Amino acid sequence: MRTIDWIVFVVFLAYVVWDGMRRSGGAKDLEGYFAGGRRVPWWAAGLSVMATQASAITIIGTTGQGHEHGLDFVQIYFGLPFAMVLLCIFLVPLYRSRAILTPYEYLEERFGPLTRSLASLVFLASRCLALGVVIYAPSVALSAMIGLQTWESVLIIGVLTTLYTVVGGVSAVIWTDVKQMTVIVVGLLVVMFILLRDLLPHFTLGQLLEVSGAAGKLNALEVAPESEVMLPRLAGSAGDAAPPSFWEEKYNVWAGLFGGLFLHLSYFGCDHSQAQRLLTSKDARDSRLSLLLSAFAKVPMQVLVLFLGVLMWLFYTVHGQPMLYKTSHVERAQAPAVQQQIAELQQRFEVAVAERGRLMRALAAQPGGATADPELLREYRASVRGVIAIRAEARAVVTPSDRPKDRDDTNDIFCRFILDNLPPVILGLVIAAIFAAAMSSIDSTLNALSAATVVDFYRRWLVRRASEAHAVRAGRIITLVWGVVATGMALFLDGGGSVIEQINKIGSFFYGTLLGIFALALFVPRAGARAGVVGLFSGMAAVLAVHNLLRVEFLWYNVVGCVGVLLGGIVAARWDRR
Amino acid sequence: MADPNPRPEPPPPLGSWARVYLLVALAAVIVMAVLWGFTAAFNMPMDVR
Repeated sequence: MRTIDWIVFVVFLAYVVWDGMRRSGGAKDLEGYFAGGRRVPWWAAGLSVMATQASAITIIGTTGQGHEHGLDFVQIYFGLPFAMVLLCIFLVPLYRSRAILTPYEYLEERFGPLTRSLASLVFLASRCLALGVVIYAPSVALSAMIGLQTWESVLIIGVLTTLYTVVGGVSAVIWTDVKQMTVIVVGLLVVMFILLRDLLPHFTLGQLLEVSGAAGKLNALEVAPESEVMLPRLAGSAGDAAPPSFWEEKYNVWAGLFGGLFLHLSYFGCDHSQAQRLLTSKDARDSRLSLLLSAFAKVPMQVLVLFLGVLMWLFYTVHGQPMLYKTSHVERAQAPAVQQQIAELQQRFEVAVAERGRLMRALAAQPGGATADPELLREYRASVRGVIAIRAEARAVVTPSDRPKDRDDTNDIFCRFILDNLPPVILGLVIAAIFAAAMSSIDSTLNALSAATVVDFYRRWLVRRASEAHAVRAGRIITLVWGVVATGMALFLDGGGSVIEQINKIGSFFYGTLLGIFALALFVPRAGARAGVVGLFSGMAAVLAVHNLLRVEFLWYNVVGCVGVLLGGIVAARWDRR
Repeated sequence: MADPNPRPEPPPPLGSWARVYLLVALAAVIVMAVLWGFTAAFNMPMDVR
């Protein structure tokens, strides 16, 4: 990174920290510290909702997904607008007619203190696990990019975010999120502009769509499932012989609409790191508007981010691409044991990439579109597959056998691209945008973890008559503790794989259960305290059973958990009536 | 365990929000229809993941 990029990057970080810390004035009581005094404008709360969801992974992971697999990841968000409408109808009035600081307070009113504490505990456990990944994952890519050690990046993100979140509370979180979201959008648009400025002199937009579609990259909505097998396979070796079932498909419209609906209902309505924003605006109307902003903007924004990945792929197809993106892969490729093998692969790779570029140009020049010459189309698609295969082979060579997940370099593609191709200042801005995205997700989670700990445990069970000043002090200390725990976890985290999926997987183990307990409270009037507790445990047991017995994609865990809670709760409620 | 607890109150009437919700749902369906058309027009599945 050049000096000017460092200056842009450091100035932005300093501004964010200063902007967050100056918000401490409003945090004199718990309503101020954890609910922004209920005075946050709807658009700021809405942008904060989007910034929280748009973690660094949204930039580096999703663009990488677009580069590798096209647009299909967008389908996971198809249930989101419908989820937002349902939340506006059912949960917003419930939350805003009470002076609650966490959604779990409502559960005490409905099911008693045990269910409230258990639900809050489920939230704390799931978010705490995910938070370590949210700090660690971008740190790996960012550290390689800007020449720092991973632990140094973890410390920069963890310490700075904790600092302003401790001091400023949720107001700092929301107002820094607004700035961070602006930098994220500007950063992404600038990269898109640079890519289009490079590609459009050589190709028309129609030609770009033709050649990327011919390579299978424009798969935004797939109605027909790839598999015709509708019964899920058994987990373990028992299911190995059978072909993969419909339930194992990661991204199709059905998983996105139904699994995604349950995931987003739970994430935005029952996960306090998002639901907290519903409690910060002045009334139910503003809470609804803050949710509906995402309902309108999220899917188009996600399409644009994924399309940015496709544009990167087109750029690399035109100009040639690296065989290995990950710094650790490149370093291991220098080892004497694999040097010869990598050199041979590199030679084959360069030939294959040149051939793919030649065929792409020929295909784009076809007057009748990509399908006009079936033989040329077949050769082009074979060349695309060839490049993918050689890259996979090379990654396998440089991946240690005891760390198979390290083979995935999806999260490194965007980082490599910007480092190699962005001009001065813009590079600093985009790296600042990635850090901003990481911080905007972490700050919300830290404040929400602290709110749940203070409101649902500390003030509920330990110091019931705590004064407001005492409770805010406790809130600050607990935010600091969560910041230290999350940063510590990130420092010790190891592994790999596509980070975005890891986080969704972690969430999906608990999200369905959280949603289920709120659904039980709302739709099963007979359910009481016992049904609440039984429901919670049966939801978690259902997810655990499905995870251990069947091969099912993680999005469906949300449905399983919710249905598990409802079934367990209904049975317990009926039992109670006897 | 204390039981039963207060029953849930029904959600308030939708009022003028009904039109807003309908608009959101309609916009979502239109976006999906556009993406479906876009996929059908340009994409050729590769079966490589």
